[in-house]
Amino acid sequence: MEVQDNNRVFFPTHVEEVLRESFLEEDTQGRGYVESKNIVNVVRKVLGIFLTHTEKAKVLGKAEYLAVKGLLSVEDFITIMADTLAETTHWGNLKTEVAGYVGIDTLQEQIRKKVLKRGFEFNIMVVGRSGLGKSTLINTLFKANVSLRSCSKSEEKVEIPKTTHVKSVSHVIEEKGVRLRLTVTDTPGFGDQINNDNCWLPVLDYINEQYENYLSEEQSVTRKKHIPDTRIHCCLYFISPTGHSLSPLDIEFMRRLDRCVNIVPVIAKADTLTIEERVGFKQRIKQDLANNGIRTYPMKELEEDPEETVTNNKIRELLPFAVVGSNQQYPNNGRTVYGRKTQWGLVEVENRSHCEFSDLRDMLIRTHMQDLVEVTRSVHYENFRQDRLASRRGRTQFNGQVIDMDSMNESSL
Amino acid sequence: MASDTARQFVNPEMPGYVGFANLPNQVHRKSVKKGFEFTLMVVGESGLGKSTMINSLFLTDLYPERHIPDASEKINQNVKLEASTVEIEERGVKLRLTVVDTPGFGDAIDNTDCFRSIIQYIDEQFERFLQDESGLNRRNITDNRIHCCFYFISPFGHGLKPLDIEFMKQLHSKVNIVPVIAKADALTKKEVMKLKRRVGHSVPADVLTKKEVMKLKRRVGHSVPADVLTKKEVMKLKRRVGHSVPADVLTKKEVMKLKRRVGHSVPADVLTKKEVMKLKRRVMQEIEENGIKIYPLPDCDSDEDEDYKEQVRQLKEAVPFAVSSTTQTLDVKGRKVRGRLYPWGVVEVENPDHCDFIKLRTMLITHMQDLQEVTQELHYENYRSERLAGKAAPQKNTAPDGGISERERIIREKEAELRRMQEMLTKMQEQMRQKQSDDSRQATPSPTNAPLPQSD
Repeated sequence: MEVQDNNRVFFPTHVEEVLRESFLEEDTQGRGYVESKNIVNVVRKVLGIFLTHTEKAKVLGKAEYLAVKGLLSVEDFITIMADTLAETTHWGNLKTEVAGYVGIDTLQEQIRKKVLKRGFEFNIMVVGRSGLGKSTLINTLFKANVSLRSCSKSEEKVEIPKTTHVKSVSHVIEEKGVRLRLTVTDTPGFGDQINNDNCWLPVLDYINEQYENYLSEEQSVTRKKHIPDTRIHCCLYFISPTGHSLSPLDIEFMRRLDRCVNIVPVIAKADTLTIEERVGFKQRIKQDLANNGIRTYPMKELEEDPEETVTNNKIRELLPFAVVGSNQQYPNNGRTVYGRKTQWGLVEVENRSHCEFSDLRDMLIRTHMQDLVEVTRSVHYENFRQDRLASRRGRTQFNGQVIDMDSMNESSL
Repeated sequence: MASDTARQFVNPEMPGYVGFANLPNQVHRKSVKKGFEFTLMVVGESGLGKSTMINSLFLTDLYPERHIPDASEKINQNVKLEASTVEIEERGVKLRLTVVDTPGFGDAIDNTDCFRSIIQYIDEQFERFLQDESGLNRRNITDNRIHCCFYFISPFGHGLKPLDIEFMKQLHSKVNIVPVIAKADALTKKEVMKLKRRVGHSVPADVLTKKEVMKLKRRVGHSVPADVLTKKEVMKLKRRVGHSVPADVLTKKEVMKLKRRVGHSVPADVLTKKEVMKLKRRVMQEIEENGIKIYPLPDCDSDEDEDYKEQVRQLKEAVPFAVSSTTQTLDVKGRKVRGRLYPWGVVEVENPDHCDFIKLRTMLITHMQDLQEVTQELHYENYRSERLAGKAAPQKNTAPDGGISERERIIREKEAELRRMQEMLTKMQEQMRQKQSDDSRQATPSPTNAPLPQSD
């Protein structure tokens, strides 16, 4: 057990011994000091495992902070190790041995039961011009009529609203005892007018509003046991399949929103493009995204281990997903599949050689759903919170002057 | 003398035959020699397949090297109009085809100005023609007026977008608009019908041909004189009463309809025709609701042959045309077709069942003359009367083809000078007249009026 006192840290004796030993090993010249840049090697030897580059960066940072003329003493080393070890449970060779079966592994089951009782929450937003199949795709993803259009009172005529509206609908779906509260937010009217200036502002305001609500709930004196999470975890942005490149509206929207929400771009109605057109289109889109510094999900800088990097690289290769949505089923080779029946063939939605719907669904639901929630919570919400709290403090400092910190923050987005 | 002339000019055998029935041939020969001119404008958002369609429509490559701008270039782009001219010849008939493309239309975030440059261009062409017509030398007037404008509607929406409606409203009185649903292979047939319906509602009864009125009446159950019907319609009627019908007369769809009535299951690909129909109808409905006058295919006279009438009727029904185009040729089951290859099948562009490309091409070719006529008689006359009534001429900015304007500018300057000189002459004449009347008044101070000098 370690107890952090003011300057003195306690490790279990075997840990401290190993630390001192490896320090002495590294200190080949017996000076009592080790160069700060070699510290990473020592750490690796001590733990016996590889560090991710974020951890390495942290260690080096601390080393440089403590080093005197580039050299570290044993005490400095132990301080660095204390910090590092406190932040992770990957202690490698420093783990304490247990003599028999204790039963810690049942923690898994305990957590699972608790979480199952409460259920999961996922909030997804779809953005794109009208007619790109947003509602159909959401219905296809969750194999239920969860989109806004399917649930609201049926209107025979689809009217294009004059400005961008943001509307949500919540459902609870269940599968094998796992319940999910799914909130679908739709944005009718986005990009449909002649003049589309600032049509992204209602969307931006909505997202920030959810963060604001969560923040005020978090900070209230008597707060709820479980704060309802209405923050948008994922934003699917629908790109029109022109085959050329991104439109200026796409760029503007994504540039402004990639800092506050996870953006996953998809190519809508991809059955319009042949395979070669699709490949060229994707290349040009990736080029456009890179040229404008747009960070889409999954983000490279958040990866913590090489395994994640490999999976995410595969996903990034495929981005943006070329999808086709359909809620009609047709018989095909004995099974019934979702697809679009045209005169020249059946476009199967879940066929990987036809379109990339399955990849999108796997990423969104089967592998990365929890990660999306996590990133929203720990990155986007934290950014918002920092900005908000800093600005509030800033506002109280300038007592006499009325400085609108909010607008300053928004323009810097 | 008569016999000599009789040897040279052979009198035709038919009595009472003068021979001016030969006039059309003379016109035909002359016009073939002169060649035809046609200017077509294509308008629509980028990525809808306009350039591909133009290339495949006339089977020539009008855009050899296309540079597709990426998004950052598009942000700063304004609508520029690019005209490319090509001379194509088929069986001795020459056609000088100019295609005006409008890259950048509808691409920006704020699109309120994008049709202004188009309207300006059209007005400029009218102005140039007006000036040429009123000029001194009218021998070689090139007609660069836009005869037809293909407006590309995106198949991804639910009908017309506000931009589409606004554009068509502003331009339907200046140019013949033909709405085209682009990338129709994105839709199943039912969706195309829905879209078409939204763009152009049903047509008022006085525009219908006699046969269509009959069709409507039939639907309500009136009896119909059998000579108006084609064989197929006779069969249809018979079928309604339950006769058996030879299957080769029916199209596959009607077989399915029959089967459905008896309760057989129907393969879904026949139903999908309905989706295309729905889209088409939706598009026509919205056009009607907004009072947009698109180019109406003229009715054919009753003395045309049946096939032609049937063709025109089919063309009319198919408006707006749902097209899909490509310049690639594929090998499908041994024959070469122009088509788009998907993993799930091949879309044959020139198959009238798959898309309306052939119909659009037919319409354009058979109505080229009519389009030119309507432009001359309706749109140009409107412009001319407005202009002569005192509307200002369009400001000339850098015209797309700057080479011709040089010569024209000189001609126009000379004409302006002539006009000025004429004005000066009339002024001088007036002054002289004044002086004469003053002199005569001074010479003879009689109360009676001096005789007014003759005007020359």
